Amino acid sequence: MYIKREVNGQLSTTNSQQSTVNGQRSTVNSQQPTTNGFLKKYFIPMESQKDIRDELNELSPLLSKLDKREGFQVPPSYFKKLTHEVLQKAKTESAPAHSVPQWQQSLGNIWASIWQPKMAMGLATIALLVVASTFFFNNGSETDSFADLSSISDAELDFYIQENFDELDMELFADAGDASVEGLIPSSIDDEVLNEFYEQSIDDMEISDLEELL
Amino acid sequence: MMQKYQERLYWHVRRMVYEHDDANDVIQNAFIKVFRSIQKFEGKSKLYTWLYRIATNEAITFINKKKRKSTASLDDEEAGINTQLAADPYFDGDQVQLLLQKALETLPEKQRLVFNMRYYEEMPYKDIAEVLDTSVGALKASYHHAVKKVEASLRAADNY
Repeated sequence: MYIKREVNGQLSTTNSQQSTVNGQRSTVNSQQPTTNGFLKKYFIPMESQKDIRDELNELSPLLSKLDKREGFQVPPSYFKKLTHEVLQKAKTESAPAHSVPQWQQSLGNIWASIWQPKMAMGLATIALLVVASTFFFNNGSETDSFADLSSISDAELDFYIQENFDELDMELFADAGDASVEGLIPSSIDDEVLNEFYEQSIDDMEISDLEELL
Repeated sequence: MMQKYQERLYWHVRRMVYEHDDANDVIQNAFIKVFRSIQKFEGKSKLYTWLYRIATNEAITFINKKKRKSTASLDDEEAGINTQLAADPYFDGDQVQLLLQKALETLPEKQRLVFNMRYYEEMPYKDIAEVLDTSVGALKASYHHAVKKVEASLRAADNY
């Protein structure tokens, strides 16, 4: 099988490459189409076809004798169509895309960036914080807490005061304005119990505190 | 340029990928890459070795992609080549050629490339070195090993 070792474009395009042509010449396939009106000769620098075949024969006489026909085939006229198909494909790939208005492109880019994982996580976190703070501030509102108190019955209030009397802030009662002490004391408590409580409290008080009261 | 080199490059690729449809895809992609980068060709190597290099890289990329997609074992692949070629409408090789292709399939990819370029295309080592970016010494060793392996495979088939 002859190698189509055509003289490459170096000779025709750049004369400085002519120095590569230094080897032996092999037989020319006279059927080979010519280019620019010149016969193309085969130049195989340093190694000839004979050299290559001798090497194979030395390595493996068996392979050297085999018919090098591989059995591969191509569809009819394949190579004639190949050039055209490649050029068409190259044109299609290099054709400019359908033009989209700039503002639409920018909007598209912004929209796409929103759905990027990092951006989406950030937005989700902000939304969560807004919702959480809304709930938090709504639950902590004094107006709501005062509104809730009105739904509590007197009996419940009395019970609460009795249970938590030690923890209550007396200043709150002092600032209650016109509310009298009698009004603050649950009416269900017996006078005798109250008197006992007062006497106990007085016994527990320091002399300096007693003097202040007096 | 395309008409000058297309046939030669096609057969080079075909020997690597076997099937015509695959070779057609690879060679078309290779030529499109050539068109895009022809201005980058500096003339440091021969034009045809540069073209060979692009086509070879495209074929290797294709083969690797195919391997990643394939879940077949290595044994299946070796047995499959013969079945594949026998069923290929664009292969009319005889038994010897089938055996030869099977033997070549057992070679490592690069060694198979060296064998193809030296045995079928009778390319000088210097040119193969430019295509594969390998030293001439390494190529000689690789080719010699490849020839021995292929011969051993053929003999083991007991047809000789």
